[in-house]
Amino acid sequence: MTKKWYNAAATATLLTAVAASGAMSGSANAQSTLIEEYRSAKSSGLVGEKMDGYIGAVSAPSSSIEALVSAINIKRKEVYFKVAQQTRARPDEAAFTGGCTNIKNTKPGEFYQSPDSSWTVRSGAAPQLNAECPQ
Amino acid sequence: MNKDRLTWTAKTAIRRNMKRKLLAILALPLLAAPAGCVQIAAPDKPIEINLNIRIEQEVVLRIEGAVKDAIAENSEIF
Repeated sequence: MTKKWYNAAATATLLTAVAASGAMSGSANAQSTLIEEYRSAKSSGLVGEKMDGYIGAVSAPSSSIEALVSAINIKRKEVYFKVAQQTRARPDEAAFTGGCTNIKNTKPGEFYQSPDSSWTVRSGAAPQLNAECPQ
Repeated sequence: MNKDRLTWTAKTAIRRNMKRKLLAILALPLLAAPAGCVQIAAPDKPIEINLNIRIEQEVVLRIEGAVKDAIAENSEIF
């Protein structure tokens, strides 16, 4: 009787552990897939850097690109909010400042939003930055 | 016995007197205030508040370093 109980408990623990590890590796995989998708969308010009610090779809997006854009932007928002809290600035100010940096960091061929709000391909030269960006 | 007891009219009169005294004490600082205080007159022109863009630029410059660090730390999503 006691032994049976023990076995049942052990099996239950084992199953829970397997389920938990499965879920964890699942979310880790989803994360790395998201990052890979983001990298390829960026280099193929499907998404670009906006002035407000977030990414946007360059042309009418498919539903998967739309989902990718919002997934990345949610993660970015978290980063901007944290910095805003630490520096006692507004989240939109932190995001805007990030936008300046992100546009500066674009590689030639990638898209960014120029001050007139149009999508621009980054050339080898410096990008056109918003007047309020640190020069 | 009757001497000790005050009539209703007398009681009311005393109360009224006390109320007056109390009011006078409370009102004293109000009367004294104008002489001792700095007086602020409302400006004749409307107050202009002009802090749209300049502050934004100041903030951007102030937080730029912290934002850059955060972006570098989370480079996978930037």
